[in-house]
Amino acid sequence: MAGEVKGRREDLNLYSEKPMMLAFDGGKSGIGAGGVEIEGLVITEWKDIPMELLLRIVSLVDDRTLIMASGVCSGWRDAICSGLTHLCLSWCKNNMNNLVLSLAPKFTKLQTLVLRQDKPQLEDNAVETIVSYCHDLQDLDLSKSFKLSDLSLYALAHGSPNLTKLNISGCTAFSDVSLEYLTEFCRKLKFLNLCGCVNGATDRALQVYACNYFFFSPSATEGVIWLTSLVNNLQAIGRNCSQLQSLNLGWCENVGDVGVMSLAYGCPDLRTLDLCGCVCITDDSVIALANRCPRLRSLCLYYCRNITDRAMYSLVHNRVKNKPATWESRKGRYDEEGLKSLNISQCTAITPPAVQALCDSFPALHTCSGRHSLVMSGCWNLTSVHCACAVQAHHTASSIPHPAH
Amino acid sequence: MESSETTTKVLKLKTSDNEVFEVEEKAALQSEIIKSMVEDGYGTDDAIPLFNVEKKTLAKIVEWLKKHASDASKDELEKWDADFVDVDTDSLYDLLLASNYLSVEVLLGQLAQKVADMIKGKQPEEIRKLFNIKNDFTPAEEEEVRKDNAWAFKC
Repeated sequence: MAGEVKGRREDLNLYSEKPMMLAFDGGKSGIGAGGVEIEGLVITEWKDIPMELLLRIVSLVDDRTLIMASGVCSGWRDAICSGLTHLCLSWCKNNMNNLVLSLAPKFTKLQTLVLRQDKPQLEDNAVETIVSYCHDLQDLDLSKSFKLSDLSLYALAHGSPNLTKLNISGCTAFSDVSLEYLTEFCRKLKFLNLCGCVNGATDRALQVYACNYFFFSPSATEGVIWLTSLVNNLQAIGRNCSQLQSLNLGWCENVGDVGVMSLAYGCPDLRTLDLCGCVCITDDSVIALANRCPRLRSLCLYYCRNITDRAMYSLVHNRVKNKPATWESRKGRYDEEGLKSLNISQCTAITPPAVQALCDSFPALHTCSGRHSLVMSGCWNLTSVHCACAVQAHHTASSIPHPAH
Repeated sequence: MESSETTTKVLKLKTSDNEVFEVEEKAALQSEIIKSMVEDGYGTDDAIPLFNVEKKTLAKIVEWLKKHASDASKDELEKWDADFVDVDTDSLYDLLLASNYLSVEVLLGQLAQKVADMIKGKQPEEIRKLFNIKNDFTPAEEEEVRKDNAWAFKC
Protein backbone atom coordinates (compact mmCIF):
# COMPACT_ATOMS: atom_id res chain seq x y z
CA MET A 1 0.00 0.00 0.00
CA ALA A 2 2.79 2.36 0.97
CA GLY A 3 4.62 1.45 -2.23
CA GLU A 4 1.55 2.23 -4.26
CA VAL A 5 1.19 5.63 -2.69
CA LYS A 6 4.86 6.35 -3.33
CA GLY A 7 4.42 5.39 -6.95
CA ARG A 8 1.55 7.77 -7.26
CA ARG A 9 3.55 10.59 -5.76
CA GLU A 10 6.22 10.11 -8.39
CA ASP A 11 3.61 10.22 -11.11
CA LEU A 12 2.28 13.40 -9.69
CA ASN A 13 5.71 14.92 -9.59
CA LEU A 14 5.89 14.30 -13.30
CA TYR A 15 2.70 16.26 -13.70
CA SER A 16 3.93 19.03 -11.48
CA GLU A 17 7.26 19.35 -13.23
CA LYS A 18 5.74 20.12 -16.59
CA PRO A 19 5.40 23.89 -16.25
CA MET A 20 8.62 24.18 -14.30
CA MET A 21 10.74 22.78 -17.10
CA LEU A 22 9.47 25.50 -19.37
CA ALA A 23 10.48 28.30 -17.03
CA PHE A 24 13.72 30.10 -17.81
CA ASP A 25 15.44 29.16 -14.60
CA GLY A 26 14.79 25.53 -15.46
CA GLY A 27 13.07 25.02 -12.13
CA LYS A 28 16.27 25.44 -10.20
CA SER A 29 14.52 26.40 -6.99
CA GLY A 30 11.71 24.75 -5.11
CA ILE A 31 8.81 26.59 -6.57
CA GLY A 32 5.19 26.76 -5.60
CA ALA A 33 2.70 28.30 -7.97
CA GLY A 34 5.55 29.40 -10.21
CA GLY A 35 7.01 31.90 -7.77
CA VAL A 36 10.46 32.00 -6.22
CA GLU A 37 10.48 30.81 -2.66
CA ILE A 38 12.59 32.83 -0.30
CA GLU A 39 12.40 31.67 3.30
CA GLY A 40 8.79 30.63 3.04
CA LEU A 41 7.74 33.83 1.28
CA VAL A 42 6.55 33.25 -2.26
CA ILE A 43 7.19 36.05 -4.70
CA THR A 44 5.69 35.89 -8.13
CA GLU A 45 8.00 37.06 -10.86
CA TRP A 46 6.70 38.22 -14.19
CA LYS A 47 10.25 38.24 -15.51
CA ASP A 48 10.30 34.45 -15.13
CA ILE A 49 7.07 33.81 -16.97
CA PRO A 50 7.36 30.50 -18.85
CA MET A 51 8.33 30.99 -22.47
CA GLU A 52 5.25 29.26 -23.87
CA LEU A 53 2.99 31.59 -21.89
CA LEU A 54 4.83 34.73 -22.94
CA LEU A 55 4.75 33.63 -26.59
CA ARG A 56 1.06 32.96 -26.30
CA ILE A 57 0.48 36.43 -24.89
CA VAL A 58 2.57 38.24 -27.50
CA SER A 59 0.84 36.29 -30.26
CA LEU A 60 -2.23 38.34 -29.26
CA VAL A 61 -0.62 41.77 -29.64
CA ASP A 62 0.49 43.78 -32.66
CA ASP A 63 4.05 43.41 -33.92
CA ARG A 64 5.13 46.79 -32.58
CA THR A 65 4.09 45.86 -29.04
CA LEU A 66 5.86 42.56 -29.57
CA ILE A 67 9.12 44.41 -30.24
CA MET A 68 8.49 46.50 -27.12
CA ALA A 69 7.92 43.35 -25.08
CA SER A 70 11.27 41.96 -26.25
CA GLY A 71 12.87 45.06 -24.71
CA VAL A 72 11.41 44.62 -21.23
CA CYS A 73 14.12 42.43 -19.68
CA SER A 74 16.64 39.81 -20.73
CA GLY A 75 14.24 36.98 -19.86
CA TRP A 76 11.47 38.30 -22.06
CA ARG A 77 13.96 39.15 -24.80
CA ASP A 78 15.46 35.66 -24.80
CA ALA A 79 12.04 34.00 -24.79
CA ILE A 80 10.69 36.07 -27.64
CA CYS A 81 13.89 35.90 -29.68
CA SER A 82 14.16 32.16 -29.41
CA GLY A 83 10.48 31.44 -29.87
CA LEU A 84 9.14 33.92 -32.38
CA THR A 85 8.48 32.40 -35.80
CA HIS A 86 6.29 35.01 -37.47
CA LEU A 87 6.91 38.73 -37.85
CA CYS A 88 5.33 41.43 -39.96
CA LEU A 89 6.90 44.88 -40.25
CA SER A 90 4.68 46.22 -43.00
CA TRP A 91 3.35 48.89 -40.62
CA CYS A 92 6.81 50.44 -40.65
CA LYS A 93 6.71 53.49 -42.86
CA ASN A 94 10.18 54.99 -42.48
CA ASN A 95 12.69 52.83 -40.66
CA MET A 96 12.03 49.32 -41.86
CA ASN A 97 15.58 48.89 -43.06
CA ASN A 98 17.12 49.85 -39.72
CA LEU A 99 14.64 47.77 -37.81
CA VAL A 100 15.37 44.70 -39.93
CA LEU A 101 19.12 45.22 -39.52
CA SER A 102 18.62 45.31 -35.77
CA LEU A 103 15.98 42.61 -35.32
CA ALA A 104 17.07 39.92 -37.77
CA PRO A 105 20.21 38.99 -35.78
CA LYS A 106 18.00 38.53 -32.69
CA PHE A 107 14.89 36.85 -34.09
CA THR A 108 16.79 33.95 -35.57
CA LYS A 109 13.94 31.45 -35.49
CA LEU A 110 11.74 33.38 -37.88
CA GLN A 111 9.97 31.27 -40.44
CA THR A 112 7.66 33.91 -41.84
CA LEU A 113 8.70 37.50 -42.43
CA VAL A 114 6.41 40.02 -44.06
CA LEU A 115 8.14 43.19 -45.27
CA ARG A 116 5.64 44.58 -47.70
CA GLN A 117 6.18 48.30 -48.30
CA ASP A 118 4.16 51.15 -49.63
CA LYS A 119 7.12 53.47 -49.56
CA PRO A 120 10.32 51.68 -50.63
CA GLN A 121 12.68 51.32 -47.67
CA LEU A 122 14.39 47.96 -47.75
CA GLU A 123 17.91 47.80 -49.10
CA ASP A 124 20.06 44.84 -50.02
CA ASN A 125 21.93 44.87 -46.70
CA ALA A 126 18.66 44.09 -44.88
CA VAL A 127 17.99 41.02 -47.01
CA GLU A 128 21.60 39.92 -46.58
CA THR A 129 21.26 40.25 -42.79
CA ILE A 130 18.03 38.26 -42.80
CA VAL A 131 19.70 35.53 -44.81
CA SER A 132 22.74 35.35 -42.54
CA TYR A 133 20.74 35.00 -39.33
CA CYS A 134 17.31 33.53 -40.07
CA HIS A 135 18.12 30.09 -41.35
CA ASP A 136 14.64 28.69 -40.84
CA LEU A 137 13.03 31.22 -43.14
CA GLN A 138 10.31 29.67 -45.29
CA ASP A 139 7.99 32.49 -46.20
CA LEU A 140 9.28 35.90 -47.23
CA ASP A 141 7.23 38.80 -48.52
CA LEU A 142 9.36 41.54 -50.09
CA SER A 143 6.66 42.99 -52.26
CA LYS A 144 7.19 46.49 -53.56
CA SER A 145 10.84 46.64 -52.55
CA PHE A 146 11.85 48.91 -55.39
CA LYS A 147 15.27 49.52 -53.92
CA LEU A 148 16.36 45.89 -53.83
CA SER A 149 18.83 44.77 -56.47
CA ASP A 150 20.02 41.40 -57.72
CA LEU A 151 22.28 41.16 -54.68
CA SER A 152 19.21 40.33 -52.59
CA LEU A 153 18.20 37.45 -54.81
CA TYR A 154 21.76 36.10 -54.83
CA ALA A 155 21.81 36.28 -51.04
CA LEU A 156 18.51 34.40 -50.82
CA ALA A 157 19.73 31.83 -53.32
CA HIS A 158 22.82 31.10 -51.25
CA GLY A 159 21.42 31.38 -47.76
CA SER A 160 17.74 30.43 -47.77
CA PRO A 161 17.42 26.96 -49.28
CA ASN A 162 14.23 26.29 -47.30
CA LEU A 163 12.16 29.06 -48.84
CA THR A 164 8.79 27.72 -49.91
CA LYS A 165 7.04 31.03 -50.42
CA LEU A 166 8.45 34.19 -51.94
CA ASN A 167 6.62 37.34 -52.87
CA ILE A 168 8.69 39.77 -54.92
CA SER A 169 5.83 41.39 -56.73
CA GLY A 170 6.80 44.83 -57.82
CA CYS A 171 10.53 44.37 -57.23
CA THR A 172 11.31 45.74 -60.64
CA ALA A 173 15.08 45.87 -60.36
CA PHE A 174 15.66 42.14 -60.32
CA SER A 175 17.20 40.77 -63.50
CA ASP A 176 16.18 37.57 -65.20
CA VAL A 177 19.61 36.12 -64.47
CA SER A 178 19.26 36.56 -60.73
CA LEU A 179 15.76 35.12 -60.69
CA GLU A 180 16.94 32.11 -62.63
CA TYR A 181 19.82 31.78 -60.19
CA LEU A 182 17.41 31.89 -57.25
CA THR A 183 15.28 29.11 -58.65
CA GLU A 184 18.36 26.96 -59.10
CA PHE A 185 19.05 27.05 -55.36
CA CYS A 186 15.65 27.49 -53.74
CA ARG A 187 14.25 24.23 -55.01
CA LYS A 188 11.52 24.00 -52.39
CA LEU A 189 9.63 27.04 -53.69
CA LYS A 190 5.94 26.34 -53.86
CA PHE A 191 4.52 29.85 -54.03
CA LEU A 192 6.10 32.52 -56.14
CA ASN A 193 4.58 35.93 -56.75
CA LEU A 194 6.13 37.88 -59.60
CA CYS A 195 3.10 40.05 -60.20
CA GLY A 196 3.52 43.60 -61.30
CA CYS A 197 6.46 43.31 -63.62
CA VAL A 198 4.84 45.77 -65.95
CA ASN A 199 6.61 47.83 -68.52
CA GLY A 200 5.53 51.12 -67.15
CA ALA A 201 2.68 52.16 -69.42
CA THR A 202 0.48 54.33 -67.27
CA ASP A 203 -2.76 53.42 -69.01
CA ARG A 204 -2.38 49.96 -67.53
CA ALA A 205 -3.17 51.32 -64.11
CA LEU A 206 -6.89 50.91 -64.42
CA GLN A 207 -6.57 47.39 -65.68
CA VAL A 208 -4.28 46.50 -62.83
CA TYR A 209 -6.72 47.79 -60.28
CA ALA A 210 -9.54 46.08 -62.10
CA CYS A 211 -7.68 42.84 -61.64
CA ASN A 212 -7.39 43.51 -57.94
CA TYR A 213 -3.71 44.07 -57.71
CA PHE A 214 -2.49 46.81 -55.49
CA PHE A 215 0.71 47.33 -57.32
CA PHE A 216 1.40 49.57 -60.21
CA SER A 217 4.51 51.52 -60.96
CA PRO A 218 4.27 54.17 -63.64
CA SER A 219 8.02 54.52 -63.74
CA ALA A 220 9.07 50.92 -63.71
CA THR A 221 11.04 51.08 -66.89
CA GLU A 222 13.68 48.74 -65.51
CA GLY A 223 11.03 46.08 -65.53
CA VAL A 224 11.25 45.92 -69.27
CA ILE A 225 14.82 44.75 -69.14
CA TRP A 226 13.85 41.94 -66.84
CA LEU A 227 10.90 40.97 -68.94
CA THR A 228 12.64 40.82 -72.27
CA SER A 229 13.80 37.35 -71.42
CA LEU A 230 11.19 36.24 -68.95
CA VAL A 231 10.51 33.35 -71.27
CA ASN A 232 13.91 32.01 -70.33
CA ASN A 233 13.03 32.62 -66.74
CA LEU A 234 9.93 30.50 -66.89
CA GLN A 235 11.98 27.76 -68.44
CA ALA A 236 14.34 28.05 -65.50
CA ILE A 237 11.45 27.95 -63.03
CA GLY A 238 9.97 24.97 -64.86
CA ARG A 239 13.32 23.23 -64.83
CA ASN A 240 14.20 23.96 -61.22
CA CYS A 241 11.04 24.38 -59.19
CA SER A 242 9.25 21.12 -59.75
CA GLN A 243 7.41 21.58 -56.45
CA LEU A 244 5.94 24.94 -57.41
CA GLN A 245 2.25 25.17 -56.51
CA SER A 246 1.42 28.80 -56.96
CA LEU A 247 2.74 31.37 -59.39
CA ASN A 248 1.61 34.89 -60.04
CA LEU A 249 2.70 36.37 -63.36
CA GLY A 250 0.18 39.17 -63.43
CA TRP A 251 0.99 41.76 -66.10
CA CYS A 252 4.21 40.09 -67.12
CA GLU A 253 3.40 40.96 -70.67
CA ASN A 254 6.35 39.31 -72.28
CA VAL A 255 5.32 35.91 -71.01
CA GLY A 256 4.42 33.77 -74.00
CA ASP A 257 3.34 30.25 -74.77
CA VAL A 258 6.89 28.91 -74.65
CA GLY A 259 7.25 30.07 -71.08
CA VAL A 260 3.88 28.83 -69.85
CA MET A 261 4.37 25.49 -71.59
CA SER A 262 7.77 25.14 -69.88
CA LEU A 263 6.01 25.76 -66.61
CA ALA A 264 3.25 23.27 -67.33
CA TYR A 265 5.75 20.58 -68.19
CA GLY A 266 8.14 21.36 -65.35
CA CYS A 267 5.72 22.02 -62.50
CA PRO A 268 3.10 19.24 -62.52
CA ASP A 269 1.98 20.17 -59.00
CA LEU A 270 0.89 23.66 -60.03
CA ARG A 271 -2.40 24.58 -58.32
CA THR A 272 -2.73 28.31 -58.72
CA LEU A 273 -1.61 30.29 -61.73
CA ASP A 274 -2.28 33.92 -62.41
CA LEU A 275 -1.71 34.92 -66.02
CA CYS A 276 -3.77 38.06 -65.81
CA GLY A 277 -2.66 40.56 -68.43
CA CYS A 278 -0.24 38.14 -70.09
CA VAL A 279 -1.54 39.33 -73.42
CA CYS A 280 0.76 37.24 -75.60
CA ILE A 281 -0.37 33.80 -74.48
CA THR A 282 -2.69 31.71 -76.65
CA ASP A 283 -4.73 28.52 -76.34
CA ASP A 284 -1.52 26.49 -76.47
CA SER A 285 -0.65 27.68 -72.97
CA VAL A 286 -3.99 26.59 -71.52
CA ILE A 287 -3.90 23.29 -73.40
CA ALA A 288 -0.47 22.52 -71.94
CA LEU A 289 -1.75 23.39 -68.45
CA ALA A 290 -4.86 21.25 -68.94
CA ASN A 291 -2.75 18.30 -70.08
CA ARG A 292 0.09 18.57 -67.62
CA CYS A 293 -1.23 20.10 -64.41
CA PRO A 294 -4.07 17.89 -63.14
CA ARG A 295 -4.11 19.64 -59.76
CA LEU A 296 -4.74 23.09 -61.18
CA ARG A 297 -7.49 24.64 -59.06
CA SER A 298 -7.27 28.31 -59.82
CA LEU A 299 -6.50 29.98 -63.12
CA CYS A 300 -6.71 33.64 -64.00
CA LEU A 301 -6.75 34.53 -67.68
CA TYR A 302 -8.00 38.06 -67.29
CA TYR A 303 -7.39 40.09 -70.43
CA CYS A 304 -5.73 37.16 -72.25
CA ARG A 305 -7.59 38.06 -75.39
CA ASN A 306 -6.12 35.36 -77.61
CA ILE A 307 -7.86 32.66 -75.58
CA THR A 308 -10.66 30.90 -77.48
CA ASP A 309 -13.08 28.00 -77.07
CA ARG A 310 -10.26 25.59 -77.88
CA ALA A 311 -8.69 26.34 -74.51
CA MET A 312 -12.02 25.87 -72.70
CA TYR A 313 -12.67 22.52 -74.38
CA SER A 314 -9.15 21.30 -73.57
CA LEU A 315 -9.91 21.88 -69.87
CA VAL A 316 -13.25 20.05 -70.27
CA HIS A 317 -11.69 17.09 -72.09
CA ASN A 318 -8.97 16.62 -69.55
CA ARG A 319 -11.57 16.74 -66.84
CA VAL A 320 -13.61 14.03 -68.53
CA LYS A 321 -10.47 11.97 -69.12
CA ASN A 322 -9.48 12.10 -65.46
CA LYS A 323 -12.99 11.56 -64.18
CA PRO A 324 -13.36 8.66 -61.73
CA ALA A 325 -15.34 5.73 -63.09
CA THR A 326 -18.15 5.52 -60.57
CA TRP A 327 -20.61 8.13 -59.45
CA GLU A 328 -19.94 7.38 -55.81
CA SER A 329 -16.26 8.18 -55.97
CA ARG A 330 -16.98 11.08 -58.27
CA LYS A 331 -19.32 12.65 -55.78
CA GLY A 332 -16.78 12.51 -52.97
CA ARG A 333 -13.85 13.72 -54.96
CA TYR A 334 -15.50 16.43 -56.96
CA ASP A 335 -15.23 19.05 -54.32
CA GLU A 336 -11.56 18.37 -53.75
CA GLU A 337 -10.38 18.27 -57.32
CA GLY A 338 -10.56 20.27 -60.49
CA LEU A 339 -10.88 23.96 -61.17
CA LYS A 340 -12.66 25.88 -58.46
CA SER A 341 -11.72 29.33 -59.65
CA LEU A 342 -11.43 30.65 -63.18
CA ASN A 343 -11.27 34.21 -64.40
CA ILE A 344 -11.90 34.74 -68.11
CA SER A 345 -12.92 38.37 -67.86
CA GLN A 346 -12.26 40.33 -71.04
CA CYS A 347 -11.54 37.11 -72.97
CA THR A 348 -14.06 38.22 -75.55
CA ALA A 349 -13.39 35.50 -78.12
CA ILE A 350 -14.89 32.74 -75.96
CA THR A 351 -18.47 31.62 -76.75
CA PRO A 352 -21.28 30.47 -74.41
CA PRO A 353 -21.39 26.74 -75.32
CA ALA A 354 -17.70 26.29 -74.48
CA VAL A 355 -18.02 28.05 -71.12
CA GLN A 356 -21.24 26.18 -70.31
CA ALA A 357 -19.49 22.87 -71.02
CA LEU A 358 -16.74 23.97 -68.67
CA CYS A 359 -19.22 24.98 -66.01
CA ASP A 360 -20.92 21.58 -66.26
CA SER A 361 -17.64 19.70 -65.97
CA PHE A 362 -16.41 21.59 -62.94
CA PRO A 363 -19.20 21.79 -60.35
CA ALA A 364 -17.03 23.94 -58.08
CA LEU A 365 -17.19 26.74 -60.64
CA HIS A 366 -20.08 28.99 -59.76
CA THR A 367 -21.72 31.90 -61.50
CA CYS A 368 -24.40 32.37 -58.88
CA SER A 369 -24.39 35.40 -56.66
CA GLY A 370 -22.30 35.16 -53.54
CA ARG A 371 -19.92 32.58 -54.97
CA HIS A 372 -18.76 33.78 -58.36
CA SER A 373 -15.81 31.49 -58.80
CA LEU A 374 -16.25 31.70 -62.55
CA VAL A 375 -15.58 35.33 -63.30
CA MET A 376 -16.37 36.62 -66.77
CA SER A 377 -16.98 40.32 -66.47
CA GLY A 378 -16.76 42.22 -69.70
CA CYS A 379 -17.84 39.18 -71.73
CA TRP A 380 -21.33 40.33 -72.60
CA ASN A 381 -22.01 37.38 -74.88
CA LEU A 382 -21.54 34.97 -71.96
CA THR A 383 -24.42 36.21 -69.82
CA SER A 384 -26.41 33.09 -70.69
CA VAL A 385 -23.94 30.79 -68.92
CA HIS A 386 -25.07 29.55 -65.51
CA CYS A 387 -23.79 27.11 -62.92
CA ALA A 388 -25.84 24.17 -61.72
CA CYS A 389 -27.21 26.09 -58.72
CA ALA A 390 -29.24 28.38 -60.95
CA VAL A 391 -30.45 25.52 -63.13
CA GLN A 392 -31.43 23.36 -60.18
CA ALA A 393 -34.06 25.88 -59.27
CA HIS A 394 -35.92 24.74 -62.38
CA HIS A 395 -34.91 21.11 -62.80
CA THR A 396 -34.82 18.11 -60.54
CA ALA A 397 -31.60 17.70 -58.64
CA SER A 398 -30.60 14.53 -60.47
CA SER A 399 -30.75 15.89 -63.99
CA ILE A 400 -27.57 16.99 -65.65
CA PRO A 401 -27.64 20.73 -66.04
CA HIS A 402 -28.11 22.12 -69.49
CA PRO A 403 -27.21 25.49 -70.87
CA ALA A 404 -29.80 27.91 -69.67
CA HIS A 405 -31.45 30.34 -71.99
CA MET B 1 -33.63 14.45 -5.83
CA GLU B 2 -32.00 11.35 -4.49
CA SER B 3 -30.94 10.11 -7.89
CA SER B 4 -29.33 13.44 -8.78
CA GLU B 5 -27.34 13.31 -5.54
CA THR B 6 -25.97 9.90 -6.34
CA THR B 7 -24.92 10.85 -9.90
CA THR B 8 -23.22 14.10 -8.86
CA LYS B 9 -19.71 13.02 -8.08
CA VAL B 10 -17.55 15.33 -6.04
CA LEU B 11 -13.76 15.46 -6.33
CA LYS B 12 -11.43 16.67 -3.62
CA LEU B 13 -8.55 18.88 -4.73
CA LYS B 14 -5.66 19.48 -2.34
CA THR B 15 -3.47 22.56 -2.71
CA SER B 16 0.27 22.85 -2.07
CA ASP B 17 -0.56 24.40 1.30
CA ASN B 18 -2.80 21.46 2.19
CA GLU B 19 -6.20 23.06 1.75
CA VAL B 20 -8.86 20.74 0.35
CA PHE B 21 -11.51 21.98 -2.06
CA GLU B 22 -14.57 19.98 -2.99
CA VAL B 23 -15.65 20.41 -6.57
CA GLU B 24 -18.27 18.65 -8.65
CA GLU B 25 -16.61 16.35 -11.13
CA LYS B 26 -18.31 18.03 -14.07
CA ALA B 27 -16.72 21.35 -13.12
CA ALA B 28 -13.32 19.92 -12.20
CA LEU B 29 -12.94 17.97 -15.44
CA GLN B 30 -12.61 21.24 -17.37
CA SER B 31 -9.01 20.90 -16.23
CA GLU B 32 -7.21 18.53 -18.56
CA ILE B 33 -4.69 17.62 -15.89
CA ILE B 34 -7.41 16.68 -13.38
CA LYS B 35 -9.20 14.79 -16.12
CA SER B 36 -6.15 12.72 -16.97
CA MET B 37 -5.45 12.09 -13.29
CA VAL B 38 -9.01 10.88 -12.76
CA GLU B 39 -8.58 8.64 -15.78
CA ASP B 40 -5.41 7.32 -14.15
CA GLY B 41 -7.43 6.37 -11.09
CA TYR B 42 -6.85 9.33 -8.78
CA GLY B 43 -9.54 11.04 -6.78
CA THR B 44 -11.78 8.06 -6.09
CA ASP B 45 -11.34 8.24 -2.33
CA ASP B 46 -8.42 10.49 -1.41
CA ALA B 47 -7.88 14.07 -2.52
CA ILE B 48 -6.06 14.90 -5.75
CA PRO B 49 -2.87 16.70 -4.78
CA LEU B 50 -2.10 19.81 -6.82
CA PHE B 51 1.45 20.63 -5.81
CA ASN B 52 1.75 23.76 -7.89
CA VAL B 53 -1.33 25.65 -6.79
CA GLU B 54 -1.89 27.53 -3.56
CA LYS B 55 -5.12 27.94 -1.61
CA LYS B 56 -5.70 31.53 -2.68
CA THR B 57 -5.30 30.77 -6.38
CA LEU B 58 -7.19 27.49 -6.38
CA ALA B 59 -10.12 29.19 -4.67
CA LYS B 60 -10.34 31.57 -7.62
CA ILE B 61 -9.94 28.81 -10.16
CA VAL B 62 -12.57 26.65 -8.50
CA GLU B 63 -14.89 29.65 -8.61
CA TRP B 64 -14.29 29.89 -12.37
CA LEU B 65 -14.73 26.16 -12.92
CA LYS B 66 -18.06 26.19 -11.07
CA LYS B 67 -19.33 29.22 -12.95
CA HIS B 68 -18.42 27.68 -16.30
CA ALA B 69 -20.09 24.40 -15.40
CA SER B 70 -23.29 26.22 -14.44
CA ASP B 71 -26.07 27.13 -16.83
CA ALA B 72 -25.25 30.84 -16.86
CA SER B 73 -26.22 32.62 -20.06
CA LYS B 74 -23.56 33.64 -22.58
CA ASP B 75 -24.00 37.33 -21.82
CA GLU B 76 -23.87 36.80 -18.09
CA LEU B 77 -20.76 34.66 -18.42
CA GLU B 78 -19.02 37.25 -20.58
CA LYS B 79 -19.51 39.95 -17.99
CA TRP B 80 -18.57 37.62 -15.18
CA ASP B 81 -15.36 36.60 -16.98
CA ALA B 82 -14.36 40.23 -17.52
CA ASP B 83 -14.69 40.86 -13.79
CA PHE B 84 -12.90 37.65 -12.98
CA VAL B 85 -9.69 38.56 -14.81
CA ASP B 86 -9.76 42.12 -13.46
CA VAL B 87 -7.29 41.50 -10.64
CA ASP B 88 -3.90 42.82 -9.51
CA THR B 89 -0.88 41.70 -11.53
CA ASP B 90 0.42 39.30 -8.88
CA SER B 91 -2.87 37.43 -8.76
CA LEU B 92 -3.03 37.51 -12.54
CA TYR B 93 0.37 35.85 -12.72
CA ASP B 94 -0.63 33.14 -10.24
CA LEU B 95 -3.85 32.47 -12.14
CA LEU B 96 -1.98 32.34 -15.43
CA LEU B 97 0.50 29.79 -14.17
CA ALA B 98 -2.11 27.77 -12.35
CA SER B 99 -4.47 27.60 -15.32
CA ASN B 100 -1.52 26.56 -17.46
CA TYR B 101 -0.50 23.88 -14.98
CA LEU B 102 -4.08 22.65 -14.66
CA SER B 103 -4.61 22.93 -18.43
CA VAL B 104 -7.84 24.89 -18.30
CA GLU B 105 -7.60 26.04 -21.89
CA VAL B 106 -10.50 28.51 -21.96
CA LEU B 107 -9.40 30.26 -18.79
CA LEU B 108 -5.80 30.34 -19.97
CA GLY B 109 -6.97 32.02 -23.17
CA GLN B 110 -8.91 34.64 -21.21
CA LEU B 111 -5.98 35.41 -18.95
CA ALA B 112 -3.51 35.61 -21.84
CA GLN B 113 -5.88 38.01 -23.60
CA LYS B 114 -6.09 40.13 -20.44
CA VAL B 115 -2.30 40.41 -20.24
CA ALA B 116 -2.10 41.13 -23.98
CA ASP B 117 -4.63 43.95 -23.59
CA MET B 118 -2.60 45.36 -20.72
CA ILE B 119 0.67 45.58 -22.67
CA LYS B 120 -0.76 46.68 -26.02
CA GLY B 121 0.77 49.92 -27.24
CA LYS B 122 3.06 50.28 -24.21
CA GLN B 123 6.78 51.04 -24.11
CA PRO B 124 9.17 48.64 -22.33
CA GLU B 125 9.49 50.97 -19.34
CA GLU B 126 5.71 51.09 -18.93
CA ILE B 127 5.49 47.30 -19.12
CA ARG B 128 8.25 46.97 -16.51
CA LYS B 129 6.39 49.29 -14.17
CA LEU B 130 3.11 47.47 -14.73
CA PHE B 131 4.53 44.05 -13.85
CA ASN B 132 7.24 45.14 -11.44
CA ILE B 133 10.05 43.85 -13.65
CA LYS B 134 13.60 45.02 -13.12
CA ASN B 135 15.52 46.29 -16.14
CA ASP B 136 18.46 43.89 -16.19
CA PHE B 137 20.02 44.95 -19.49
CA THR B 138 23.65 46.02 -19.77
CA PRO B 139 24.15 49.62 -20.93
CA ALA B 140 25.02 48.34 -24.42
CA GLU B 141 21.87 46.19 -24.58
CA GLU B 142 19.84 49.06 -23.23
CA GLU B 143 21.13 51.29 -26.02
CA GLU B 144 20.08 48.68 -28.60
CA VAL B 145 16.60 48.44 -27.10
CA ARG B 146 16.32 52.22 -27.15
CA LYS B 147 17.22 52.29 -30.85
CA ASP B 148 14.72 49.57 -31.77
CA ASN B 149 12.02 51.44 -29.93
CA ALA B 150 12.84 54.70 -31.65
CA TRP B 151 12.71 53.04 -35.08
CA ALA B 152 9.54 51.19 -34.28
CA PHE B 153 7.81 54.31 -33.02
CA LYS B 154 9.01 56.73 -35.66
CA CYS B 155 7.42 54.53 -38.27
